[in-house]
Amino acid sequence: MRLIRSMFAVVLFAAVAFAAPPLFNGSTESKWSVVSGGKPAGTITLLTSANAARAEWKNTPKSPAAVYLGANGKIWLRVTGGDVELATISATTPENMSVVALLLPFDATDRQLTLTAGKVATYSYRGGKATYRYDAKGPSSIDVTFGGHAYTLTRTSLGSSNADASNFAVRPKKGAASRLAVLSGSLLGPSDASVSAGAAGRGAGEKGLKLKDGGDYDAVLKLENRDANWRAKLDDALVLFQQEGKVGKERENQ
Amino acid sequence: MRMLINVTLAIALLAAPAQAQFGNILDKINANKDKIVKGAKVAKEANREFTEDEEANIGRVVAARVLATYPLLKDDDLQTYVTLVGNTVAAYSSRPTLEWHFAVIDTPIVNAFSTPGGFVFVTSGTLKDVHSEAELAALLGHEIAHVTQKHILREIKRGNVISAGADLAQSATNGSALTDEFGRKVGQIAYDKLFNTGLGRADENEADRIGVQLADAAGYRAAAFVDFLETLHRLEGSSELKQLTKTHPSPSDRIATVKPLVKSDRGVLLAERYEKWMN
Repeated sequence: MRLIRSMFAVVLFAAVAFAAPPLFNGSTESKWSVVSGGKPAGTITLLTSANAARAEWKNTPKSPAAVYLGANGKIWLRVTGGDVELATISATTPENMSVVALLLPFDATDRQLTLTAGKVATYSYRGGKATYRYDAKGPSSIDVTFGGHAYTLTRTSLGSSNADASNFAVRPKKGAASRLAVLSGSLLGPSDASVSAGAAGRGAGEKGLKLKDGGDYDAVLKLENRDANWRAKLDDALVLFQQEGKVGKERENQ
Repeated sequence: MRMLINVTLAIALLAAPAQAQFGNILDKINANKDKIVKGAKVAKEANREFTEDEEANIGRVVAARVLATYPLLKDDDLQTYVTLVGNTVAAYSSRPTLEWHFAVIDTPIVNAFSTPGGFVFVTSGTLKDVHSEAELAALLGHEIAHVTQKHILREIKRGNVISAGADLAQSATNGSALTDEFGRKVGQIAYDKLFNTGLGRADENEADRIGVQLADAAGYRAAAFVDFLETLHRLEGSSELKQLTKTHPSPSDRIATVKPLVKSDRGVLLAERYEKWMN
C-alpha cells in the first residue's frame, strides 16, 4: 500500500511540478496552420532560440500579426507601447489558446502536463487542453480544445533560424495600470497644439472655443486634446480592457 | 313672428360694430405683419433641432462652466479607467459615434454630470462610494442617456437663448450668435439644472432606465446600480450628497424604478478590477 501511495505521489509530482520541456531545441523556425471544423482559423509562425520563443498569429495571410513572446518564464502579448503578460488577460481566444500550446515552457498559469518518453503528451491550461503528436523532427500536430471549441495545429514547415536576439526581447510596460499605460496622455500637461481643430471629426463644432463667460475653456481644450491624442490608441486599449473584463464589443467577439 | 323680427334686428345691430371690430383687427395685423412674421421665425428657430456642430459648441460652453466649478482630477490612471469604462458603455448607446469625453472631476461631493455633445463628468467623491466597475458602468450609462436623450439641450432650448437665424456652429468672429452673452445665458441655465434645480423626474427616470440597459448590453451586471443607489440611500443627509439630493429623485424612489428592470445574476461585476484601479 505504501508503495502504491509512493508511486501515486511520484506520478502526481510528474504531472504537476515538472517544467515543460521545449518543443524544439535551439534556433528554429516553424510554420503552423490552424484549422477548426474543417475551416482555416489562422496561421502561426514560431521562432525559437535557446531560452526564448516568439509566435506570430495571423487570422489570414494579409491580416496583421499578433505577436507573443515566451521569455523569463512568462508569455507576453505585444500591444501598442509595450508587452503585457498574457496571464493578466483572461480571454480564451483561439489565438491565445493556440499560441500557449506552442509556448508552453513559458506558461506559468495553472499548468498540468503529462510526459511520454520525455516529451509532452498533454498539457492542460486555462480550462483548455492540448494533445501532442510527434514525428521524427518534433511535434507535428497539436489538438487544442477549450470551452467546447476544437482547433488542430499542423506543422507545415520546420527549419533552422537565424533570428537575432532582438526578436525575443521583451519590453514590459510599467506602473500599476501598466497594461493600459498606452493611454497615459496627461491631462495636466500643456495642450497639444499639433492636434488639428478638425481632428474631432463629425459634430466637432469649434474646437478651441473660448468665450468670456466665466467658463474654464482651457480645461475643456485639454480634455479634448487628450482624447484626440488617444483616439488612435483607444481602440487597442479597449480591446485589452474588454477582453480582460469580458465586457463590451470584445466580449461579443470571444 | 314678432320674436323673429326682434332677433333679426338684434343681429343687425350687433353685426355692424363686430364688422368694424374685425376690420380693426385686420388693420392691426397688417400694420404689425413684419413683427408677427419675425416673432414666428423666432419661435420656429427656438424650436428647431440643433445641428451636431451646434450641440458640440453648446456642450463646450456647459463643460467649461462645470470645469470652472470643479477642476479635473490630477490622476491619469483614474482618468484612463473612467474613459475606458465610459467608451465601453457608450458604444451601446443610440449615439455611439459621438465624440465622447469622460473625465473625473476633483470634488468630494457625490454627483455626475453630462453636457450636450458628449462630455461626461464623474466626481472623485462618487468613485469612493462606488464598489464595482458594474456600478460605475451603470452610473456612466445614466449620464450617457442624458446626452443621447438631449435632456440638458432641451432645457437650453426652453430658455429661449437662440434668436432667429442664429448660427451656433461658428465663432462670434464669423458673425455667429456664439457670443460671450450667449455663453453666460447657456452656462447659467445649465448650472441651474446641473447644480441647483435638476432635470425633471421623468428625465431622471428615463436616464436611470436607459443607463441600466446600456450597462446590461455591455455585459455588466446592471443590478449593481441598485447597490449604488442603496449606498446613496445610506448617505442621505450627508454634506457630500446635498447637491445630488437637490437635483435627483430620492434614492429609494430610484431603487423602486430600477429594481424591476434588472436581473440580479446577469453580467459581470468586476469589483476586484475596480478596486485595483482605485488603489
